[in-house]
Amino acid sequence: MEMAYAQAVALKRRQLWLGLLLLAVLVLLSGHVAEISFSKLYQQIGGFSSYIDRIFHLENGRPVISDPAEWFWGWKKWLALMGETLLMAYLGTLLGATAAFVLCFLASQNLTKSKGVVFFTRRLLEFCRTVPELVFALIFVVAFSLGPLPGILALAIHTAGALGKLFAEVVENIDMKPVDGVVATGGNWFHKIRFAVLPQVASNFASYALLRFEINVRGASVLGFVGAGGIGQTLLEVIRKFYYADVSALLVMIIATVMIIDAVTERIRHKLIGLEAKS
Amino acid sequence: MSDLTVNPLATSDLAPRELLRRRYASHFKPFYQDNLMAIFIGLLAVAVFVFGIYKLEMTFARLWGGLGELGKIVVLMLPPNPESWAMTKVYLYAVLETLAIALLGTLSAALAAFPLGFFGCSQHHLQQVDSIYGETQF
Repeated sequence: MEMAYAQAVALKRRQLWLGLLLLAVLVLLSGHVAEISFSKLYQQIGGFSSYIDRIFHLENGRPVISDPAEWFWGWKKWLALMGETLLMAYLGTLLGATAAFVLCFLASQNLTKSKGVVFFTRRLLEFCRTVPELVFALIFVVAFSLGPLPGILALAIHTAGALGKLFAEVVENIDMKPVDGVVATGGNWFHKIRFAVLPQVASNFASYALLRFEINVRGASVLGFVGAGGIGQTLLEVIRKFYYADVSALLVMIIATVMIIDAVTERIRHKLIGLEAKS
Repeated sequence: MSDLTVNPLATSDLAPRELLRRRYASHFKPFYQDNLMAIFIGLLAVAVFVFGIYKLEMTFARLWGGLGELGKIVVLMLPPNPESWAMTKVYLYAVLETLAIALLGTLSAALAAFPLGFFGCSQHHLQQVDSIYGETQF
């Protein structure tokens, strides 16, 4: 007995060391491939901190806090751009969530009997969410020309893929008894969804959609980097043109907006989750 | 539901539907009575959506024209063709580099987050830990 215990412990220990060794090898390999050099990191870290220092100083050399009006000189324009970004995130989330809502029932094994449909829908959702939204945006900018439209479509497709999977998981975890009840009274597929499934999943769906909106606000603020609208384009411009104080002003604006959105949606989501627990 | 042996639908003078309507009044009232807030939020959501479409110039013509362009691009993209073995190697190495960045980024972030996790944990939980394991010192 003791022997067996000692053996089991030894085996575990050997596995742990082997795992750590493998990790170390992978890290070294990655460091080589990614050209990591600590001496370079040490030399250049000063450049990074001096950049941070510079973006918090105005052109006249004083810290930005000393003159907020000068710091946020373009606040009207920037606020409009931030609004555009939020609107992009909203439209993308709503369009994507609608598509995900339609597709999630087809991707759920407990509601769709045809294995082929489930398989195909799942692969479609997978494709939509594995391609990063920035890549979609890049391609769409070529097709739809510059502006918010390609950004919205990119967000919508990515959102459809990500939310479709989450929605389908929620649907697969429902209690099937109400569904059986609706089927027993002669309800069709639509009735099944409306009266048996939807009441069980609605609050969860809304919660996930809000979470996605949060993520999409962040996503939308960098979509402008590839010309797909929003505040990102201006941010890239001021970084490239070395308008230091503007960089920090825009960053502060984006971070503040994201924090507010996060706080608000988190509160709503907690309420929604509470709703589900009660019902 | 006192007498289960007699079907009330069979003994009542009222039409079955009317009887059901009376027994389960709460299920038959117009749906908007309970959901005024939900309807308001829904209308607001649609209004913002329409405003967004107008503001961000999502016209049907642009969508349709863009889809045509997109079709052309996709046709040009297929089938995947890296041109030569040399280019294939470049792309494969780029994939490797991506994986390396992901591994190092995740690992270093995890190492940095490990101590932060303890500091970020709320006092309430720390006290629970204390009550089980004695005083914790950070």
